[in-house]
Amino acid sequence: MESKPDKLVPAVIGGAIMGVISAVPGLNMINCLCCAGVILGGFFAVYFYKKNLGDTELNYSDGALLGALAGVFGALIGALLSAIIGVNFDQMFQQMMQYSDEIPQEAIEMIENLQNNKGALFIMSAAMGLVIDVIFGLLGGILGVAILGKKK
Amino acid sequence: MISTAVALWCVLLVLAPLLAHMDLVAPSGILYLFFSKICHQQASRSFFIFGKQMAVCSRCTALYFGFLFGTLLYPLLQRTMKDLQPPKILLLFAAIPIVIDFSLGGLGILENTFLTRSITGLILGSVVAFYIIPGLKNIFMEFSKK
Repeated sequence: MESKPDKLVPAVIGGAIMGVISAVPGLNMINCLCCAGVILGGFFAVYFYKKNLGDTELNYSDGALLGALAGVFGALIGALLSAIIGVNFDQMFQQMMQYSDEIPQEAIEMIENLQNNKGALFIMSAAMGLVIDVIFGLLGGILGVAILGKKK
Repeated sequence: MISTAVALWCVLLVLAPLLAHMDLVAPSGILYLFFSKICHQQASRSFFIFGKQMAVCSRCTALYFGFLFGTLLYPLLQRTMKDLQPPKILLLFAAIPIVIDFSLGGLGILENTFLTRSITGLILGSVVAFYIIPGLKNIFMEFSKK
């Protein structure tokens, strides 16, 4: 059985791409195009993995795993970067209020209710980010294999 | 199974405004908050049903429903065509309209409309399905062998 290269490093690189795109203001506009930044992270995890793979065939299960792993790292790095950059919930809420006519009232009320419990808001937000990043990272990984792999 | 998962995702997009319409603010708020992670949710760029806006904007809605359409179309075409993984270049061609529409709007050169956002989203969504489904089928086959 042939040994395959390590998946951790490409997944971390893909996750870092996801995290930076998600956390940096302005750059995170890319995600407005249907989570393109997250999908790109999954795609690049496959790209860097393929570089170490040589002539061995790239398969879909590796791509999906790489994309999902990149999603996990992306969510963690994104949350960490947001904290470092200083995007806090008070700022987020104030920004939301500026555009309150454009955002569903139910979402605003939900955040208003959770304003007093920032821990719960952070956990809920991080959990949602994790689910989204894993799903779209996985899709990015599969698309990566479809694009970078050899067609049978 | 893939179509069911995608259909469930699309149901959630409609469920958020439906729950809001029924004054179930908490579950509706959670759904809107969840989808706010992947969409700007601007009311002026969103479809409305039950008097409430959908969970995502018109472009994202079209993309997800286009993807659902692709997953439903795939098994029908599979009966008549052997190789259903289209050439890679087709994905690029499907992505070009949405990128142009998004970029021209973003740069303020030409304002996109509900029609352009919906059409470009539907095109990319339905084409992407033809690259994702073979991959997912392949993964299921690999696991069933093990």
